[in-house]
Amino acid sequence: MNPQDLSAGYRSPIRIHGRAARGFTVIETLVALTLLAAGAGFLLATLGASSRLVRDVRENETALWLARSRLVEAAAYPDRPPPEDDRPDRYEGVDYRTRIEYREISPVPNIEVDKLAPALRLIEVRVLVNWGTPPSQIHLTTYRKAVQEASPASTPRP
Amino acid sequence: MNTRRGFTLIELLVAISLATIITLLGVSLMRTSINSSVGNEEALKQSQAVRDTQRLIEYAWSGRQSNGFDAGKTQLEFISSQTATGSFPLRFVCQSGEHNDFALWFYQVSPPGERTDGPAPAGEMLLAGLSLCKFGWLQAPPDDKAVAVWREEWPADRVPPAVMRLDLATSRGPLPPLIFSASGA
Repeated sequence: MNPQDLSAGYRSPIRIHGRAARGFTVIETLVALTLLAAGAGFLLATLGASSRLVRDVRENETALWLARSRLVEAAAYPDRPPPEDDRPDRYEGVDYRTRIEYREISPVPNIEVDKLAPALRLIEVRVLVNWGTPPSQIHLTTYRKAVQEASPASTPRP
Repeated sequence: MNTRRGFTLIELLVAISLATIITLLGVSLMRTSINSSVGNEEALKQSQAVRDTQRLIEYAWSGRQSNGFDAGKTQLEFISSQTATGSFPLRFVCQSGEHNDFALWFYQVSPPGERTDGPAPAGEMLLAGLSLCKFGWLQAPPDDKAVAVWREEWPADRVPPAVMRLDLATSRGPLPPLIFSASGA
């Protein structure tokens, strides 16, 4: 192949056939560098987002697992405060705070139910787990029949 | 006149060292990413194993019978109405392994007649590589005012607990407790 053909399409820095060698201009170099940097930046951002996503999923799973255990624990004796656990809920460097809420549910007034189960009381047990920055929260809820019999004096019937 | 001019040695050295630094950065980034991906995969496998264990114990424990219950800090034996073993107990044991770690094993205990003859009952390893494996028992509140209390030991003569827990930890740190509730008395 003729070397002249090769030099036809681009500017060689090497002097060929009397033509002055010429490098890239500053602008060209800057544009190329900017493009390269943008590409690298996108790549890094994607990597970071992906690893953050994986971490979020793991934290969510841990929180769900913790919430389920705490729900079983709290719903076992729904008339009492939850059992105390002195172990801190810190898993893989993240602190999880658990709050348990009890709420008495008044059943929908229903004559049949009222006749069949006059002392039916439900307790809603809800576990809320908070963790991380920015704060994330999940909650699980279950219902238990109240263990204690309702005395007519303390719970007036509707 | 020769106007061809290459790079000077200094320029070449600067360029090579810059390229080296950038390559090293790239390699370390790659290594970090590979490490974290390997760690994630291990954690995923572990959490799958824990989930399977959780289901197995939850299912069996939900049908715990009041007889045949025997428990310590690192082992648990009970009869469950949920399994086909009839009146022979299931046994979960935290066994210490070779590398100062623990593994959780599951046995279906054979009837007394078969126990002496054949080989030891075949166990199934549910979880391995644990740095902590411990059972705990929730003592029911004795009266209206009291709160349920977690116990590490359970006397043989007492009525078996309805709620139990399994505390686990791996080399990466503690895991949330697994807590199970039995519906039967």
